[in-house]
Amino acid sequence: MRHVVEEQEPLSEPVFLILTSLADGPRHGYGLIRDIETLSGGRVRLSTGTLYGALHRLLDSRWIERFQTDDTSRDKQSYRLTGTGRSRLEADLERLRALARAASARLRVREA
Amino acid sequence: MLRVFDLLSMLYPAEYRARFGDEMRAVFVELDRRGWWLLLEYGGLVRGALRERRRHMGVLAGGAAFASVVNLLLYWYLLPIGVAHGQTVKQDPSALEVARSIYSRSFTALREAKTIEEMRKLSDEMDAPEWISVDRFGRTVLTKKDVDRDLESLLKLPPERRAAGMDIIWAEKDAERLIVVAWMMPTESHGVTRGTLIRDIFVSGANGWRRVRHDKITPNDMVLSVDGKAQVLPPMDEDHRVRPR
Repeated sequence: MRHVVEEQEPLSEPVFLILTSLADGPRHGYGLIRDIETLSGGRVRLSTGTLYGALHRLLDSRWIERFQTDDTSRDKQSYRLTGTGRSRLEADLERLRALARAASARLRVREA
Repeated sequence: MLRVFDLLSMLYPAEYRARFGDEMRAVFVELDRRGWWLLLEYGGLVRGALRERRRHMGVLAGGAAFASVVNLLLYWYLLPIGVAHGQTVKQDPSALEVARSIYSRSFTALREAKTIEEMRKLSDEMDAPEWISVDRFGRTVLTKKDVDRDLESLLKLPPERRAAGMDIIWAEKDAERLIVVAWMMPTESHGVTRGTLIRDIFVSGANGWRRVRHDKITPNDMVLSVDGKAQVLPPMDEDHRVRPR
């Protein structure tokens, strides 16, 4: 049974961070872990098990794909965002922006 | 550390391991090298394995836990027993017995020899006239004539130093040839075991088995283990590993 990332669900934090990390170019596993740690200000350190579980689902959902480079070896595969993955990340960003706007508006009302 | 990783990775479905196993291992090695806190990694591996099992089998968490227990049982208990007792190439006991008999007789005679004539007789019984010793680069470094010239100095050694023994790793024979792979003169002191890997080839003739070639495959007194931990047996560390890309 193939498991895919549900289209309608908000992205989980690991998935959101992985897609964000791949938004500016391909990365391999270790590069993703380091970049996500930097992106999150050191707060999120994905374990190998969590990272590859998420990569598995994202590959099956075709949000990311393996990326062949000259030095791509079996133990150092790179991944990149697909068009679908980019759209899904943008959609989730829009969802977060809308939430942020709503929260800001309510805070302003309360302060006023 | 890698051994723990390898064991935990066995919890994952085979399909998953085939797809991501090498990559995950490479990432783990990199994290280990950079001093990452590996306990988190182990926890992540177990959680990840349970998730993948659940996904793979399409059952609930209870089923996944059961599958993991079955997997643990298979890989940690039943499989090692199976490998040790039936699924590997088996040592031919008769070849091992022939090899043990040849060397045992030779070592004993070497220690008991008192005259140069006894040493010459021993040399002729053990080695064919065309016997050569080959170093690890494939160069012939000794012939039987060289050895026979040196028998007197060998006789001057105290008996206990003339032959220290060997551990036979593999012996195999057909009608004409016998090959023996062994750790020569394995010694242990201060928790360090040393030895030299050799291969001997014997040819069967009218006078029984005669050795025609002695290959010394590793340098003398190579360190084999330290405090019981193997230094040359698999799994080797990453610097020694070669796998197809």
